[in-house]
Amino acid sequence: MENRVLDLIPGFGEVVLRKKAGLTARVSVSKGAAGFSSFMRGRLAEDVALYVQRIDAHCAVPQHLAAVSALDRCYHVAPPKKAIAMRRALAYAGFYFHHLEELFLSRAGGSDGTSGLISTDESILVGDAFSAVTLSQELITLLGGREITPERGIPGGLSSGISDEGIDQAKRDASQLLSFALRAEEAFRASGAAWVKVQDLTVPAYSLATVEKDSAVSLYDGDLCIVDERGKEWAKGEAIDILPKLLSWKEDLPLRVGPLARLNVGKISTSQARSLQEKMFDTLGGPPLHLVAAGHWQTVIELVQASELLAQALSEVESGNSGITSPLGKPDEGIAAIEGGNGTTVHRYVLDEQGIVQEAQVFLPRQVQAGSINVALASVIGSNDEVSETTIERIADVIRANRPAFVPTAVLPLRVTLRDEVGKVSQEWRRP
Amino acid sequence: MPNKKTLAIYAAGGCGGCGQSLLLSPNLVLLLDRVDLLFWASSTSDLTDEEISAYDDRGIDLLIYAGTVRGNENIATARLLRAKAKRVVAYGACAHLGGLCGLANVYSGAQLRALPSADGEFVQPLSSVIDVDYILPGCPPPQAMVTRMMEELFIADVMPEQGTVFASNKAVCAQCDRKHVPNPLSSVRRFHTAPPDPEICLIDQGYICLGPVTRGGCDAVCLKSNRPCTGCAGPVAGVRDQGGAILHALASLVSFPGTDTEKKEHQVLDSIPDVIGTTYKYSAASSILKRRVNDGK
Repeated sequence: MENRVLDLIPGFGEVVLRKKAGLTARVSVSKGAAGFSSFMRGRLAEDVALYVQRIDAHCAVPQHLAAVSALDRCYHVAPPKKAIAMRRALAYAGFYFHHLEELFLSRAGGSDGTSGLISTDESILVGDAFSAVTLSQELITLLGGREITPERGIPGGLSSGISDEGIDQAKRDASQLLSFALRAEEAFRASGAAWVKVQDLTVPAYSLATVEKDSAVSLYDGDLCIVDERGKEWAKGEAIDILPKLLSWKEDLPLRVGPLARLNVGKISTSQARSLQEKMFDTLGGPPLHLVAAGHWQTVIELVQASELLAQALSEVESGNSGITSPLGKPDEGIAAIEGGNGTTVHRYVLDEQGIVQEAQVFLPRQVQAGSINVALASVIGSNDEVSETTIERIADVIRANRPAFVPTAVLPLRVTLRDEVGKVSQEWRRP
Repeated sequence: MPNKKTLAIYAAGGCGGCGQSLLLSPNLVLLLDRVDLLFWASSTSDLTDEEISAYDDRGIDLLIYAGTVRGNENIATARLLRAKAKRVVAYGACAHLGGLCGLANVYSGAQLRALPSADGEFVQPLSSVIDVDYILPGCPPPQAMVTRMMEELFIADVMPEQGTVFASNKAVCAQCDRKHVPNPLSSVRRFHTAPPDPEICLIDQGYICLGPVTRGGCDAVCLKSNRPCTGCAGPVAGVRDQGGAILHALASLVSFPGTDTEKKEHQVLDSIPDVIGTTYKYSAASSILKRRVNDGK
């Protein structure tokens, strides 16, 4: 019943404990792909990105970019380099904003409600975090044309360009964001790292993320890559080839997306973030690494990575409205994958000759995450047949550390309900 | 600070954009210092109707309601919240107009029930189920409007008049600096296949822009990105039906010299693709159309 708009798009999460021959816990995900497709059928191609980001504004930037990338493919068009540089920069700004929101505003983390960042030097870092939130949204506005829900992306390029003053401002903002990210990572290592290290929940899984041409992990687009629990490449290719494997996952172990998956899939291409990640591996071991709480550490490192990538992309952004679109071809089908903060998003659209949507599918991280979350939940409950506060704390740890894209558990307080054999609620807990 | 106002924020069905727009407000810290925040809740994840019932009637000075009203459960909660609050703000396009998901109302109940995750219930604007005191339009509301709302509700000494809409009474066009080059509408263009001239009024160039019938105050931000206004702030003051108004305006611009003009004019208007999605993108649920009532058979 949560979040009624989302029932147009695949999935929302619910944690249900059942006391039936011992305790079981499970996150269930509804599948509403047919509803989303029906909702989008008959809509205009140029409106698609507007719709999808308003169905999932928590990931508005990756949804916007995934839609326009899929539409590029529908129209068989390669956007000009100038437009790609802007889109990349927008993606990294969105990535940064998303991670800030996860780390500071949703208080993602462990049983003390933190991941080490808020409790460390709270008065300074939290105040600066709000400034960084504002700066990253300013970047989204400068690059995307509108705050929260960017709108410049269109099939074949961009609807408008950026001014010289806008680029200068964006570079100043990006520099401040890198500075904050480095401080946040340092603060995390000072206290959060110790917290991660004592968390003993390890859940082996396959890992999915997008990778660049040089196999470095991407925070924007690229090929999809899946590695097994040992870190060995299991599948790699374009979204159109990998999507069928995702939709019919049959392996013994679950598939994971998001920060913990990205650290297993590929190396970081930027120098400062890579160096910080090596320090994490020195402390925790890996890669591969399946310590669930390590996802928080990786998230902070990705703040640095996104800042560095943002600076690189901005150095290639050019001002002006000329040369920002390429001529469109005859539309048909297109699929694209974009790496969002919570994991890989895949969009598929089929257009008719007039550019009207005939079919629409969105594959979201939350569909993947349920599998690894459920394995982890089974681990923390074990053979218990009674619910203790510790059990609830560990359930909360699992949910948050897996970084689910379930709105009620990622952004808002978690509620766990215990139902008896006939489904009647017998007990309820909350985490603030 | 003595006698702080009590504030509650309730998010029903929505995408999360309204919550982000509140979080991004530079006035948020100031706001939280001036009010007692009773709750900032999502529809089912951390507040039940029983818990809402525990508050005194009219015990909440101000309630901000964001998100869609869809089905009896949402209606019951909205009514309960109304009883507890002295003043209610409909925050964002979903609460104000029904929002994007109001487009689901073009399906009949039977069609909706046939979908795996839908329950056949229709979207309504908040004002159709409870009395609303204030409206903050937008999808999501732009910062200029959020700031105005916070200043008028929490900083000013006197509460704004009931019925206040924290936006301009003028149309989006008032903040759009494109040149007006009057031109009869002889064909409908789409901006992704034929990029518009960024200096000239989009309607004058043949694009469907809802600026003339949409409430302004957003700084015409979409037009500055060379995209048409899609109408997220709802109808401008005095206009009842946003989609009907823009279709009326467009029809008045279609003009052909010579003979057989009526047929040509119909052809132009018939060529508008996805008429409902284009002209009622956010306001289908609050329009005079409201919803489909049968299967269209």
